[in-house]
Amino acid sequence: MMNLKKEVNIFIFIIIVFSLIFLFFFAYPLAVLIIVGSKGIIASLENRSFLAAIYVTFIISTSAAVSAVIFGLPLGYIIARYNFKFKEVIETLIDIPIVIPHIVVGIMIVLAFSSQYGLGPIFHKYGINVIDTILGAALAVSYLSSTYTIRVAESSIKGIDPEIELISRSLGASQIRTFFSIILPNIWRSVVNGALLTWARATSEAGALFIVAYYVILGKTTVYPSPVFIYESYVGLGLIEAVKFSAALVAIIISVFILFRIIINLRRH
Amino acid sequence: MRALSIMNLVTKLNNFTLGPINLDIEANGYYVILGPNGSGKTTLLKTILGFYKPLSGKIVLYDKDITNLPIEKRRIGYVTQNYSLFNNMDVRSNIEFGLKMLKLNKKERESKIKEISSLLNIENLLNKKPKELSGGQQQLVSIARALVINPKVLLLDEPLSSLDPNVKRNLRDILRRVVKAKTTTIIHVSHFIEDAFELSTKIVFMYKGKIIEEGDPIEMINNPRTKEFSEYLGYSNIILLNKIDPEIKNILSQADLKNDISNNNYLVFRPEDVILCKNKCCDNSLEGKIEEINIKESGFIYNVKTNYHNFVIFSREIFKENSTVNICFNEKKLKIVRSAEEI
Repeated sequence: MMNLKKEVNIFIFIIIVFSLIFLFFFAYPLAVLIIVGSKGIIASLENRSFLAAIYVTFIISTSAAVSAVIFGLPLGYIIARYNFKFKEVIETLIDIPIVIPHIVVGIMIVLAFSSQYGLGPIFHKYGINVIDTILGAALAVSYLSSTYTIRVAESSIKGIDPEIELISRSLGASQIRTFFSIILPNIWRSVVNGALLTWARATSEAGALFIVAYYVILGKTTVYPSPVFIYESYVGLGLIEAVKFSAALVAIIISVFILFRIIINLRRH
Repeated sequence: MRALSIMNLVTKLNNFTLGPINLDIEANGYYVILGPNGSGKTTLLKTILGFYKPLSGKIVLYDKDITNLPIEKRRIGYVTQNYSLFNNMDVRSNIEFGLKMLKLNKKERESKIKEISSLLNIENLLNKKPKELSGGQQQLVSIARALVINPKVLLLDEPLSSLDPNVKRNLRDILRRVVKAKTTTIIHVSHFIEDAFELSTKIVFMYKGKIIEEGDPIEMINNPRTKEFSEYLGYSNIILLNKIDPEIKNILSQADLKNDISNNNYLVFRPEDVILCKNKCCDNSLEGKIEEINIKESGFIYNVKTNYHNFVIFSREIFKENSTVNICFNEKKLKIVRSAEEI
């Protein structure tokens, strides 16, 4: 890579200015939120309802991240390694969740699992209900956030020479053994990074949850997922209260995100 | 003894069709498959390996039909030009991987790793990671990894292509040593004629998905039978023969080759197979004018235009552009070949 300092000219100057404007656009609202809300972070974390909301959100987003790895890795592998009819259709299908408004995704999930449409009657027969349940919330956020893991898995598999798999098989390893002994050790960091993106995206989801699980039933109580909790506090208690909870949520998400990234990259360095 | 028999093999890949291929590979032979890009060499190799499923035909390995056997059950070694070492393992584990698949115990594995690493002179690399190795070293490890399981056939897909000339020479020496030490049948796809000269016991030449020549390397290189193989070997002068071409007719008559003049034959010779003189220097000669000069390491390549043809001729002597010269033909060096499509 080139050294940016040594390359300064009009072009580099312009791209630096434009980049800084964009970075400021990202950082400014975050900085204001942290500054204004920082004093209330500790108090927010002592609020039992908010902690329950974070707990529910973590369950939902962690199940989304885990299922994205379990089901997304095979899908990423197929797309990376094989050509087949209608591959473009499948690739579009994977990207669709990013395109559809989140509220609509919520409606889609409710409709798909309702007792009257599609496979809904079968689900209902087996007691599978998505409205205001952890399952429904997890399905909604999975739908919206799994694309990141699939795409990261796909591109990291594409980065591995396919001949390596042939060689492994020529040495007597089955396809499954090759995947676990040769492919996975080379891509696990990227996959975990993708899962982390899925997790972070799922944690911050609100739109679909408004429809599917505005609150979830946890034992005998009802708990708001944290984005809904913040919305409720904004509507009911005002901006400053909502800012405190928001700052606390953002601090937790960013801490987890950074911590995981450090752990993932620890051995590499 | 026959190691591998390929019978009426046809493999289809998008718009490319390989075959029908018929080829017998003798045990412990070193076969070099030559051919231009897109001739189907690698497709043939990967069909033998089991990666491509043939449309029809049969592959028999030591009397066992392996046409539909999965790759991992064939025990065919495979080495590519990109080395393709497992980056998540050190060199020792790379070599050990196949032995583990064979379920050999630790002691047996260690002894085999020692044996192969000593044969290939890579004992000092065993604890290194692939990233720490040079291209030549990586290729040695890749060959060791394939050979250590004693494959029934070892497939080499342009193993020397990405290497520097010196490393390439060194690796050829090592491959020769390996062939002597291990009784392994090798099929080596290459686009270097030197590989065929220095290593092969048999050459197979492929063109447009078919084998069009095969046989003894010295015989094949000195007496090509097809226009396509001649071209590949560097016979830059390829002239379609016809009965009304007085220049060629005269040359062939003097060379006692006039019976070969037919519409489907070609006269071929290398730039260095004729002599260029300022004045007429032999009976069987043609007069022409130098149109273009290209400087080469050991001399000059001249483009000489006669009344009917353009010839590419090598000479160490200096001739000026537009000067008149005489091309002196040596009848022993003139070859008559046919197009592969006619055979």
